[in-house]
Amino acid sequence: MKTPLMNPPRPAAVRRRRRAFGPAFSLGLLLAFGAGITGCTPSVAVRVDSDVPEPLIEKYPVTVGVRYSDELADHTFIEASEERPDWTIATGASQTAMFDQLSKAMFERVARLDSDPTAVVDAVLEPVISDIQFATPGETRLEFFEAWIKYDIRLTEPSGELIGDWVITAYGRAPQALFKGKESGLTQAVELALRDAGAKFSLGFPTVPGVRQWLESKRGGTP
Amino acid sequence: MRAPLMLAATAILLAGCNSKTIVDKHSIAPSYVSTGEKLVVLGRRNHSSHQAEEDFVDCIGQTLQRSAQLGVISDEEFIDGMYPWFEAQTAPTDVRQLDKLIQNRAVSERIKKFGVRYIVWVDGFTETVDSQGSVSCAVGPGGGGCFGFASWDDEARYEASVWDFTAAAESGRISTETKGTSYMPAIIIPIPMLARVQATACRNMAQQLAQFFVPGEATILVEDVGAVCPEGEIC
Repeated sequence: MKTPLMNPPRPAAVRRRRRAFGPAFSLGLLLAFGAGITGCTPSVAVRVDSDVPEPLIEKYPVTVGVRYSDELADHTFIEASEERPDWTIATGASQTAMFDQLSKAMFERVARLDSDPTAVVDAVLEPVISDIQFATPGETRLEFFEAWIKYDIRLTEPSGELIGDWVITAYGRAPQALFKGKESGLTQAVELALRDAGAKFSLGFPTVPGVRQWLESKRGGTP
Repeated sequence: MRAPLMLAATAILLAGCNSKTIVDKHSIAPSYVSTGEKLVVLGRRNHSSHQAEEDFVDCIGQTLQRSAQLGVISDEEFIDGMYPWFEAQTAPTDVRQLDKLIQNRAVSERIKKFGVRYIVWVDGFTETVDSQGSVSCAVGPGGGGCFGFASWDDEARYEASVWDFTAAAESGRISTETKGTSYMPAIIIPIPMLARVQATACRNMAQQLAQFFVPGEATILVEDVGAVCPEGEIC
């Protein structure tokens, strides 16, 4: 049962002050604090779904069959270490989309050998992902999210004879200031790394020694 | 409650009064933009330690478009349209590479299609160089607030280089250095008094760039010690 002493009347000034900085204000500060630490959660779950622009490059008069391994097409980076307890970054779809876009622009005709294994082609292109790495600002003390992707690219005759093989190392970097959390920053870093890979593949293709001679033979003269 | 609000209003009014800018401009050749010609502002992204901030690059382009009525292509549209030639690691880093690039017929046709005459390359960054003091905040069931005083010094150093596609040559160079100090007293609520260093650097750089491109504007030649005169002689 309440008595007058249990609930003494408060002065008006105190009543006003409590309304101004009462529970609503505390809740607001708590929400702001919660939003602020959103980017600090250790787990990362990302599915990168992007493509690269159509490249502005010469189209070679050849028919190329492209073959993607399951490792590339379904590529998912998974880490369960102490520093990265629950990281899952799926990039397979974006990687095949990137190579599809480039192949379409670089070669007169392209066949996907996984869906049409009997297609008649001049050469077979097989990109293989050999490594992928990530870094966050919290790990490197830099102000960027970073991604590195390394590919081994092989071009072979339909008989399997090697025309050329080379390595592409791609890098993407996204400024921390633009992104609220790890996932969006890492996504942008991967997208930029894929753009870099596409640029290096399309510009470097005709300079690979065995490939250069093969292209010259297909053109029937000097480039 | 009125006192902190009045203090905040005063702080906002005074916020622009504590920045200092130094501009250095070197013009090599007239760079007037004719009717129908456009320019594009791009940020340098090939350095390992820094890159020009996207919002600074956007600010330059938007200010030139708005204040000087210049036709400006967005950097995203240009880089996508010129893919893969203007990526972070494939973009030309000097005018000799530009000369070689525009000999590629597909590239030169795309540039003509864009109508771009000039590229403005922006390099640099804004950083906090010093900070002092601290502000502590606490919240409890009965309320919360912040107390303290913090200040920090920001420096913005940028350089813009203007390339002429038609001449495949550099037309000029502008560098700006802006310093400012921001303050944040906290009396229950923090009251930020920010020196808008990056915004000031953008405004000054855009103003100088407009003088490059708009005919009739006085172009002030600022020659550094050791700078090369147009004729190739040391001044």
